[in-house]
Amino acid sequence: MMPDLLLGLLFVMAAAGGAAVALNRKPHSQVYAMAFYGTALSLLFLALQGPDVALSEIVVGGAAVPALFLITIRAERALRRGRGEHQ
Amino acid sequence: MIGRGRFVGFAATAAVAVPLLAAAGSGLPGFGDYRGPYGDLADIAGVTLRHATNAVTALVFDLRAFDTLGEEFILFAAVSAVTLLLRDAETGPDVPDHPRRRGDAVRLFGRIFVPLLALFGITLALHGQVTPGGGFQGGATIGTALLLIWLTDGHAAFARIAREQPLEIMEVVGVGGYALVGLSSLAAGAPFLANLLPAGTPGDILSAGQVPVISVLVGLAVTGGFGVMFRKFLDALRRGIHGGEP
Repeated sequence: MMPDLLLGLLFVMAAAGGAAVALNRKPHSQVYAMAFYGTALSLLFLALQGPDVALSEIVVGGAAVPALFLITIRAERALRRGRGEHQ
Repeated sequence: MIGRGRFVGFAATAAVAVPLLAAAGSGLPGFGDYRGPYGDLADIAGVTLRHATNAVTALVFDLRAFDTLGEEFILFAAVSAVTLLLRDAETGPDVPDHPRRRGDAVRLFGRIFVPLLALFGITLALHGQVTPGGGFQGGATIGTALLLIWLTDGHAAFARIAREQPLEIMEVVGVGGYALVGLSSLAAGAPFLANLLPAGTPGDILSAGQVPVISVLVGLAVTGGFGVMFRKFLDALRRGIHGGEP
C-alpha cells in the first residue's frame, strides 16, 4: 500500500512537472519547471529501483540542462541590453 | 492565445489517441513482473560470467559497449558543435574581471562542496562495475562541480580551474581511448570490444574485465565534454554582459 502511494505521488509530480514545462510561456519559469521535472523524474527512477538512471537524470535533467538554458537566456538578455534594445 | 483551429485539431487527435493509449496501458504487466528473456540473459551474462555486481554497467560497457561508443561520439559531436558555434568567445577581447563578489557564506559553501562533489564523481566513475553509477554519471557530476565553482566563486575562479586545453585533452583521450579498447580486441583476434580482460572477483574494484577501463575513459570524456561546454557557454555569457557582439 505504502509503496503504491509513493509511486503514485511521484508519477503525479512528474506529470505535473512535464505539463508545467509545456504550458508555461515565460522562458525563465519554464527553466525552473524543467529543473523540477528532472528532479521529480529522478526520484521516480529511484523509487522504481533504477539508481543508475536516477543519478544521470538528477545531474543532467535537474542541474546541467536547466543551467545551460539559464545561461543562454541571461546572455541573450545581456546582448539585447548591450545593443540598446528593450524587452 | 491558442488558435481555435489548433485546439480543434488537438481535440480530434486526443479523442482517438487517448483511448488507444489507455487501452494499451491497461495491458501492461505490473512493476517487477518481467516476462522477456533478454533481461534475464543479460543478468546471467553480466553478473555470472563477467563478475560485475552492477548489471546495468555490465550491459552498458560490455554487452552493448558498441552502442555506448556511438553515444560517446554523439556527445563528442555535440560538444564540438558548441565549440564551433561559440568560437568567438575565445577570440574576443580579454575583459578585465570585475566580479560581483559572492558573499563569504556562498564562497565557503562552494569551497566545501565542490571538492566533495568532484570526489563523489570520481567514486562513481571508478565503482560503476560494483555499485550504481559509472563513467557517465561520474563525469557529469564532476562537470556539474565545475559549474558550482562558477556559481559560488565567480567567473575568474571558474576559468582558472576549467581550463580548455586540459578539458579537451580529457575528452579526446576518453573517446579515442574507448575506440582503442575496441580495436585492441580486434588485434587479439576477437570481435570489436569483446571483453578479453580477466573477470576478477565479484565486488572488487578491478573486476568485470574491460568494464572499469571503459568506465574511467567515459568518465574522462564526459568530464571534458561537460567542462568544455560550460566553459564555452559561460565565456559567451560574460562577453554578452560586457557588451561584445555574439
